Amino acid sequence: MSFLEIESIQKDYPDFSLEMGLSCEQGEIVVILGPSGGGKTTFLRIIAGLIAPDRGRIFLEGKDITGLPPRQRGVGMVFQDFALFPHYDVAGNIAYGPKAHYPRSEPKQLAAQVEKLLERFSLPGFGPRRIQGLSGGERQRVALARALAINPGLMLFDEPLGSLDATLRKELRGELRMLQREMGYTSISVTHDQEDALAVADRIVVVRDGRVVQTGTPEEVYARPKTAFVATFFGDANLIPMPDGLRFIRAEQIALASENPSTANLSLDITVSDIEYRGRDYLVKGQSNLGKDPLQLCFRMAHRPRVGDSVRIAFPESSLLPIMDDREIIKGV
Amino acid sequence: MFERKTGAELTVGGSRAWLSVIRLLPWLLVAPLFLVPFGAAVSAWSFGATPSNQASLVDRLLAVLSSPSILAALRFSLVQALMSTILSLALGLPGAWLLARHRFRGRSLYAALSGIPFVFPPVLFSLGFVRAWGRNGLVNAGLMSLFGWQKPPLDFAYSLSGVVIAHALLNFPLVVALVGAVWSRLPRTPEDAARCLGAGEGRILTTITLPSVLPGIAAAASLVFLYCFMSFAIPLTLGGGPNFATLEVSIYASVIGEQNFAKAGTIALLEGCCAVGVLVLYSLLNARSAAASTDAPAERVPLSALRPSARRLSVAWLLASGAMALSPLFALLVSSFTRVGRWGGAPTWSLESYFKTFTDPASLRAMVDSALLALVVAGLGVGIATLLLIGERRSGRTGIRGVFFALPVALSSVMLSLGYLVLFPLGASVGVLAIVQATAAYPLAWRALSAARSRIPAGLDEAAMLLGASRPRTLATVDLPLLRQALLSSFALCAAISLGEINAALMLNPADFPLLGLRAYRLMGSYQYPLACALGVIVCLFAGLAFAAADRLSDEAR
Repeated sequence: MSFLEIESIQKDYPDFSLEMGLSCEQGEIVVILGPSGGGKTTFLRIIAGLIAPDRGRIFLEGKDITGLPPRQRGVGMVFQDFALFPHYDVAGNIAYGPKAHYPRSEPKQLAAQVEKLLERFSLPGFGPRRIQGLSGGERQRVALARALAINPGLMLFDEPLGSLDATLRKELRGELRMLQREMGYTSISVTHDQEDALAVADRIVVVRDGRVVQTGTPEEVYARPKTAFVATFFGDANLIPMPDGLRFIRAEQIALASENPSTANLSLDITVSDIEYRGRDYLVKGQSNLGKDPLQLCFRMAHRPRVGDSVRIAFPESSLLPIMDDREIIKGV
Repeated sequence: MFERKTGAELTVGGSRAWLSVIRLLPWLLVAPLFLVPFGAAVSAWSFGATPSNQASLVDRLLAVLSSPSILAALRFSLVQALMSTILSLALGLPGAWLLARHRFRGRSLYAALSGIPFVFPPVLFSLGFVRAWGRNGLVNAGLMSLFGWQKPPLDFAYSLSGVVIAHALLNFPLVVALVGAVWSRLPRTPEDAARCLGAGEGRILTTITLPSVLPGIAAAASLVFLYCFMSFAIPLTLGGGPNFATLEVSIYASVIGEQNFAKAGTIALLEGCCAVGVLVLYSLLNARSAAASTDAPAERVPLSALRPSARRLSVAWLLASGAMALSPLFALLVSSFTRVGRWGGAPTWSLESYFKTFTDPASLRAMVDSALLALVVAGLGVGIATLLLIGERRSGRTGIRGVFFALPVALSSVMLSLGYLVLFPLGASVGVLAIVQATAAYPLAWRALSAARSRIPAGLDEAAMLLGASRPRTLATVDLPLLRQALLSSFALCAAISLGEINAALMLNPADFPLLGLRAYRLMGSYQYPLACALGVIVCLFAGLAFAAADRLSDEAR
C-alpha cells in the first residue's frame, strides 16, 4: 500500500458531488489542479479531516484515518489566507502545535525549537513580532514553520501561492521545492494556476466537476493530454476535427514552413487573423481549411507578421495526437 | 461556488454527538426563560372564568379585546410608534449619509451616539428630556433669558408630542448607525458607472443609491418602530394619564392599579403578537439589506470636499443633531448640580442633591444593591449569550434559530414579569428580577458576541485543530482570547442595562430591595428633580465605570 491511499472518496452536496481517489508515495509532491469550483479544496479538506466524506476511506501509512478528528491525524496544512492566530506573536503561532501535542513540554526546549525553525525560514529574531506587522511573504513562512513544527508526514497546501504577487510566487515556488527536498514530507497542494503546478509537481492530478480527469507527470499532462479540457487548460492548444475524431497539437509545434522543413511533413496555408506578442515569440492565430476555429501557432521571427498576411506553415503529422472530445461538457462549467 | 469554507462542517467522528448536545442546550435552558413566563402571562387572560361561563372564553377574549381602554392603548401604541419612527428617520437619515460617505472630526463620536438607546436607561432619558425640553427645562430657560420672554415658549413634554420627540431623540442615532453601516458597505462603482452614463446626482440618488439603501432603511425603521411600540418608561413618565398609555404601560396599570390579571394577560397576548410580527419583519428586512451589501466599503471623502454651502449645512446638521441627542444627558448632569429656588424662584448651583444622596442610607443601599444586581445580571446575560454562541453555526444569528432566541426583544420584561407574577402569586424575589433583566439583556450581548466571532477568520479553528488542539483547547486558546474584548464589553452592556432598568423592577417590586432606577423614577414622580438627576448621574457613572473596566481589562490582554 502507498504512503497515502485514498479509496474513491465521495461527498454529495445538493448542487455538486465529489468522487475522487488518489494514492501517493512517500516524499512525493502532488498538485491537484483545476478550475475553481471543481472540488479541489473540498478534497483537500476531506484529507485534513475538516470535512467528513459520505463514502470511501483514507489510509495514511497503512492506518485507516477516515474517522479520525483532524488533531489526531498529524497532518500539516497551510491555509490560503494562512490562518495565523492574530492574538499570538510569531513564536506563539509556531509553538502552538508542539504545545497542543505535548502540553507539559519544557519551555526552554520549546523556545529553542521555535528559534531553530525561525532561522530555517530566515526569520531570526521574529519570535516576539506581531502577526499584523508581517508582510505577505513573511506570513507565508510563519504559516509553513507553524505547520512543520509538529513534524507532519503529510503536508497539505491550499492555494499556497494564491495570495502572493507574481515575483514572490516565483521565489516561493523554488523555496517550496527546496523545503520539501530538505524535510522529505509528502505534499499535496491545490492550485488553479497551471504554471505553479507544472513548476512544482512530481505528479499533477487534473480535476474537474469533482472528478479526476487525468493524472501524470507534468511532462505527460502537458504533452499528452487525455482530453480536450486538459489540453486547453495547459498552454495554447489546437483542437482539430478529423474524420476519425478530434486531434490535438500544441501551438509551439507548428512553425513556418521555411523555418522547419526537415521533420514537418504536413504543410498548409493560413491567413493571419490575430497576433499577440509574448516576449519570446508571437502567438499567431490564423484561418485554415482545417475547421472553423482559428489555428494557433508560435512564430519566433524578428519582425511582426501582419493581419491578413498569408503564410505557409508546417508540422510533423506524428504530432497530431488523438484526443478525447469533452468540449461540450466544458461549456457547461 | 463549491469552495465550502464553513466551520459548520467540523462534524467529524466523535465531535458530532458533542456538538448536537451543545446545540440542544439553548433550547432546553434558554427557551424556557421567555417561553414559560410569556405563556403564564398570556394564560392570565382566562383568569376569573368560572366553570359555568368557560364555554364563552373566546367571547370573553373578544370582549376584553374590544374594550375601549385596550383599543385606545393599541391605537396610541401604534400611532406614537409610527410618528416616532418617521421623526427618527427624518432626524437620522442625513446623519447616516454623512457618516457613510464622509470623513470629519468627531465622526466616530457621532456614530457612538447610537449606543445611547442601549446603554442609557429610558427612565433617565425621560428625566433628562424633561429637564432639557420641559416647561422648566434648560431650553425654555435659555430662550426666556435670551429673548426676555415671561412665559416658557415650549410646552410639549407631557403630551403625545413629548413622547414622540423623546422617542425620536433616543432612537435617531440608531438610524444613523444602522443605515450608515449599510450605506457605507454599498459599492461605489455602480454610482460611478451611472455618472459615466450621464446621470445627474439627483438621478443617481433616486435610481441607484436609494434602491440599494432602502432595505437597510426599512430594517432600521422596523427596529425603531418595535422599540417605540414596546416603550415603557418614556410613555409612563411623559404620557401620564390613561389617554397616553401604550399597551406596555396598560399591562403595568392593569396589574398594579387594577389588579386585573385577566386584562393584563389579554394585552400581553395582543402586544406579544404585534411585537413578534414586527421582529420577524425586521429580521427579514435585515437579512435582505445584509445580502445587498459588499464588504469593501466605498472611500469616504472629507467634508471639506463639499461645496461651501453644503459643507456649512452638514456641519450645522451634525452639531445640532448631536446636541439634541445629547441634550437629555447634559440636562441630567446640569440639573443634578442645581437646587430649586424657594417658592418657585430661579434654580441656583448647588451640590445639595449629591450631599443628600450620599448621606441618605436608603440611597446608599440602593447603590450597593443595584451594583450587585447589575453584576449578577451581567454574568447571567453573558453566560446565556455565550451558550447560544457556542452552539451556533458560523453563519450566525440568521434564520429561524436567530429570530427565536431574539424573542425577548419582542416579549418585553413587563410581559415576562407579569408571567412570573402569575407563576409566583405570593410575590417575586430578587432572583426572579435578575432572571427577567438577564433575559431582556442577553439578545444584545449575543448580538455583540456573534458580530465579534464573525470577524474571526474561519480558518483559525481549523488550523488549531490540525495542529493537534482538541475542541475545548481550541475554544480556550483561539476563540475565547479573540472574543475577550467582546465578552467584557457585553458584560458591561448587560450591567448598564440592569442599572437603570425599571420595567421589571416596577412590575415585580421585590420587597425591601431599593434600586437606583426605581428611586430616580419615584423622585421624578414627586418633582424632586435635582435628587432624581443626581441618582441618574450616579447610574451613568456606574455604567461608565463598567465600560472603562471592560476596556482596561481587554487592553491588558493585548
